[in-house]
Amino acid sequence: MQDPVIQLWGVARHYQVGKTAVAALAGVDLGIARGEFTALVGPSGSGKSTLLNLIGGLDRPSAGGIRVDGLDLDKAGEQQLVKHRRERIGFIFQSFNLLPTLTAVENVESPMVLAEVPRSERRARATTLLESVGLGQRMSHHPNEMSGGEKQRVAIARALANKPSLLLADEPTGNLDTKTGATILDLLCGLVRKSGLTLVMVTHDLEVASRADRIVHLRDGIIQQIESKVAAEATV
Amino acid sequence: MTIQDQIRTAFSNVGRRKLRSALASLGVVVGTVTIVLMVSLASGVRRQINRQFESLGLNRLTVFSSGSRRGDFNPLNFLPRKKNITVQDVAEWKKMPGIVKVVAEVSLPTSVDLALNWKGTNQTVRMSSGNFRAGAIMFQEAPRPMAGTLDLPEQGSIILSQGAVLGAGVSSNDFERVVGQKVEAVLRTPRGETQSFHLQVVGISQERAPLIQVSLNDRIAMKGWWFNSTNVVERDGYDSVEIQAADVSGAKKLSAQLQKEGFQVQSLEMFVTAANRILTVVTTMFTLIGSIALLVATIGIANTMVMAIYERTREIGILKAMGASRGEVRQMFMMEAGFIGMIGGVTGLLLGWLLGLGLNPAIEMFGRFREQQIHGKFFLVTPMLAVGVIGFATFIGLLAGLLPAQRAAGLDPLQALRHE
Repeated sequence: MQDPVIQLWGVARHYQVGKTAVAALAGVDLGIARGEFTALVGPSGSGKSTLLNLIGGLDRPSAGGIRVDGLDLDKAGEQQLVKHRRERIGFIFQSFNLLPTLTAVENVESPMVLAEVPRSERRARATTLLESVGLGQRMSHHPNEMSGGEKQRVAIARALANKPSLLLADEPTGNLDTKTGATILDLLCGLVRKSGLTLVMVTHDLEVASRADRIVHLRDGIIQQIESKVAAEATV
Repeated sequence: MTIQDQIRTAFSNVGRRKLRSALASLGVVVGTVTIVLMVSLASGVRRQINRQFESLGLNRLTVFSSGSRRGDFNPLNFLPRKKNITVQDVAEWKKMPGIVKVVAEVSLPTSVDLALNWKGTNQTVRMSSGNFRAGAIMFQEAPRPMAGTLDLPEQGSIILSQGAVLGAGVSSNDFERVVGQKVEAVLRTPRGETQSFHLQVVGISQERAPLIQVSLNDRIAMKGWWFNSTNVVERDGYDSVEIQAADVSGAKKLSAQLQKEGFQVQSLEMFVTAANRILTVVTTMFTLIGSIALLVATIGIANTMVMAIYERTREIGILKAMGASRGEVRQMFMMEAGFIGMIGGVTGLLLGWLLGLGLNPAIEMFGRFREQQIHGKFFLVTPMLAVGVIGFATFIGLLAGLLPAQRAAGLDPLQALRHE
């Protein structure tokens, strides 16, 4: 594989539920190339969200190794993980997870506040991003004044704020109707193709997954099958 | 996250829940008002005392002959050996370098029966101790004569108090006419022997009690008759001597020296030191009480912060997913708590200051009601108090925020994101 931006080997994640250990992931090996759009599909409980959170540095593996952009997440310290989340990763959630008290533009600015981007630049970049997702007219609206599609657009703009190399989306269309979901997906795909971002998306909607370069099927914490739509090099 | 952004965020978060923040800071307000009132009262009174004493002159001291005065009841009479202030002592002190003025005084025993015969009336009066002018009392203006003068010539003159003149049936319109008149002061022994002293009125003082005052020489003459002694000063010495040194340090040195020699010495400097010491103790005590109120206030703030963190768990998760570190989350909530404390501190300071402003004239009015002329501010908020109290309130807020903020910082981002 050329230039794998994400590498996972033997990744397992166990959760302690009461006295029994539940394996969310039971040994996953995967490589994802830069600029690739990968869909993680599988029934609920298959471990797809866990895998996404591990790549995003929100969680740590119980066993195995993860390397993202040259950083070994399994060995990284807390501060390195914070930096990883802040600078390399853009998260997009199913339930949008906008800060309810902030306006659209302030929400997009918030990751830049954490990254200590100067104020004037913050506002300029947030404005450009909101315009690029088609929300130039909704800058100073609060999340509760926006539709689901609009909220997700704000969330996408926010995920792009710190110019990450990696977008991680957890069921981004799950809370939207089919039509809105399709536009959001178009927007996301367009952005990824245009800027060469790597996108990993969790979905259980096969129609959504079909837009991806590769579809990774998970079941019971292991990879069952990888469908590749592009050249044969994109195998594990 | 830059410090400016943290301050801005904390401020808007506190402002978002105005009522709750206000209620949380109420405890701080109460504690701060207590501290501000008490400490400002103490510093106001301290300033008054120091000013008053300074205007009277801290370079002055009064020497008393030690031991009991003749005729005074003193069960510890045998303890200190009597140390008279002799004429020679006074002469020596007058010659000492750095001494500006030495005034020796003789006072009549308190048991003396003294009457004023005038205009056909006979009223019992008391001999005023010291002289009216030097007796300026704290928080009062220097005394002014109602008529004539308060300066006594060497001999043969008398100052009557307002009370004594009114007691003789003179209306206050005729005070000026009293000056220059002859009056008769009568001493009477328990055996009924009497002696008259004919004196000319030079002035009327403001005192409402029936008092008279005569010059040193006349007092020596009265005391001499009372004790049946031709020269009472040579036998018993002076009762007190007022010494004015050129400066405060000279007065201090002399005071120490005279005390060593066995005299009783009182100086304003000693009063001021003692008063300041007492005020420091009182201030410390009240500050402690206020501080306890502030510590109790931490409970309110901590409770508010715990609630806020519970409500905003998901928000914390979002922030963490976006790359907020534990330290940043902790600082964010610490700052909010600190702001609540600070708002309480500023409010308390303003309230305490306003209360003090309102109480100052109230005290003056009370003084007028009690026929005491009281001037000046009793509640004084010094810049140090203002800065200190706000700083302390902020510290209290930070203290209250410590544990809740720690809890927020330690939240697992995934669990926090799942929180509804």
